[in-house]
Amino acid sequence: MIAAGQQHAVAECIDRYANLVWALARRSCPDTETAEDAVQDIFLKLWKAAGRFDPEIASESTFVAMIARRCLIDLSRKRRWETSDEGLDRVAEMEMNAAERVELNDEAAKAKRVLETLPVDQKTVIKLSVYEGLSHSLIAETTGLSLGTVKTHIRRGMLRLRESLFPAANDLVVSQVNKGETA
Amino acid sequence: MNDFDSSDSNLRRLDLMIQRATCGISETEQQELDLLNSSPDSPKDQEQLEATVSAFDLAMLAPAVSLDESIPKDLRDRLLIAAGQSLPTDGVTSPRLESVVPESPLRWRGVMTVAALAASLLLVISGFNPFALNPVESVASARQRLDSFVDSGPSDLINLKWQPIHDENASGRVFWSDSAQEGYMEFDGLDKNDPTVEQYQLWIFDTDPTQATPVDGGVFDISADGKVVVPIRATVPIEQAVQFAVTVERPGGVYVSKRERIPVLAKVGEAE
Repeated sequence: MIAAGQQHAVAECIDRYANLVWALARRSCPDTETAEDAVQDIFLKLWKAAGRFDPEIASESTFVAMIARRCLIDLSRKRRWETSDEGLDRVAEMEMNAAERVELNDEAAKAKRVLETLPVDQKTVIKLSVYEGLSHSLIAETTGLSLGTVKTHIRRGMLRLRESLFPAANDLVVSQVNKGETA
Repeated sequence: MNDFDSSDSNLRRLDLMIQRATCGISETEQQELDLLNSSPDSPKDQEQLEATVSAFDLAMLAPAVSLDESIPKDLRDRLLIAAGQSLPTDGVTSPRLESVVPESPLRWRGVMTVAALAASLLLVISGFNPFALNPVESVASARQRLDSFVDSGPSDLINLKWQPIHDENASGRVFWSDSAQEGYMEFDGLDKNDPTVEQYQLWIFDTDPTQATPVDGGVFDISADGKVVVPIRATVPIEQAVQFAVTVERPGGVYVSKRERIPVLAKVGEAE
C-alpha cells in the first residue's frame, strides 16, 4: 500500500515502474527534458488513479502502461514550436540499447501470441497504430490500404485480443460489430 | 433505432474508443463518443480496450527497449517530493511487478522502424513509399491525386495561396479538407533540398482547443524544379485547420521547431 506520507511505499512504486514509464516516455518524447516532465506527470496521475486499479481489467504493469499511454497521447497531440535538439540523438542512443531485453506480463504475453497469429497486414496496422501511435488516416496513407480496411484490421485485432483477455465481456460488442461490418 | 442503426452506432463507438486508446481523439470526437456511450458499461468497455491496447504495446515494447535504463536520480528525487506534495490523504494501492518472460530483440521505434514494419505490406500492395514522398510518388501522380481531390469538391475545401516568408521565389497553393482529412501542397519555385542535410516539414494550426499548438504535417522533399505537388499527412486528426506553415528542419523533421526558416505560410482568411 501507498498511504499518504508512506514515503517508502512511494519509493517502492517508483522503483518498480520507473523504468517502464521511462522507456515509454523516452519512446514518445522528443528530448530528455520533455520525457522527464512526462514521467512526473505520469506518476502523479498514477498515484491519483491507483485507487481505481481493478485487477480484473488489467494487471498492475498494464495499468501503469495505460496511465502512461494516456498522458503521452495527450502530450503527443501538443507539439510545440520551441527549442529542442535532442530528438535524433536520443533515437540513436536508444537504438544502441535495443539489444537489451525487457520482460512481459501475462497480458502482454497473450498479446504477443495473438499478434503472432494475425495476418501480416493486420499485424502491421496494429503495430503502426499501437506502437507508433499513427492516426488511422496516416496508416492508410502509409500502407496504401483504404481507411475502412485500416479500421477493420485494427478493430478485429483489438477484439481478438480483448476476447482473449476478457472472455466474458465481448459477446455483445462482437456480435453488434460483426452485424455492422456486414450491413 | 433499428438494428442497422444500432450496429452502425456500435461500430462507430468502437472505432472511436480504439482511436482514443491508440492515438487520441479530438474534443468533437470525444463529444460524439460521449453521446454514443449510453450504456452504464461504457467506462468499463473503454478501460478494457485501453488495457488491450496497452497489452499490445507492452508485447511490442518489451523486446524493443531496455528497462535496465534507470531514470535519472534527480528525477527520482523530484518524484518523491512531488508525491509528498500531491498524494491524497487516503491510501492507494501500490502496484506490483508481475513475473515476466524474456523475449527476442526488435528494433527501436522511429521512422526506420515504421518503414520496416510497413515495408512488407508496401511491397505487396502498391510500392508507394510514404517516407520519401517525392522520390517515389511522381509529380504527375501527386498532381492527379490533387486534381481528383479538388474535382471531388469537398464542401469544406480550403484553397489558400502560399505567402513567401524566407523564400521569396516560392509560391503555390495549399488544399485541405477537414471532413476528408486530406490535403495537398502545390509549390512553384521552392528550393530543392538535400534530404541528407535538411528536409521541409509542414505544420498545421488547428482550432481544436485540445491542440493549442500546431500539428506535425509530415516531412517532405523538393527534388524537382517547377511545380511540385506534395500530399499532406497530418499525424493526428485536424479539427479545423486555420493555418499552414512550412519550415526547414534536419532530416526526419523535429518535434519542436525553432522556426528559424519558414519558406512559406498560408492562413485561412488571407490571400485565398
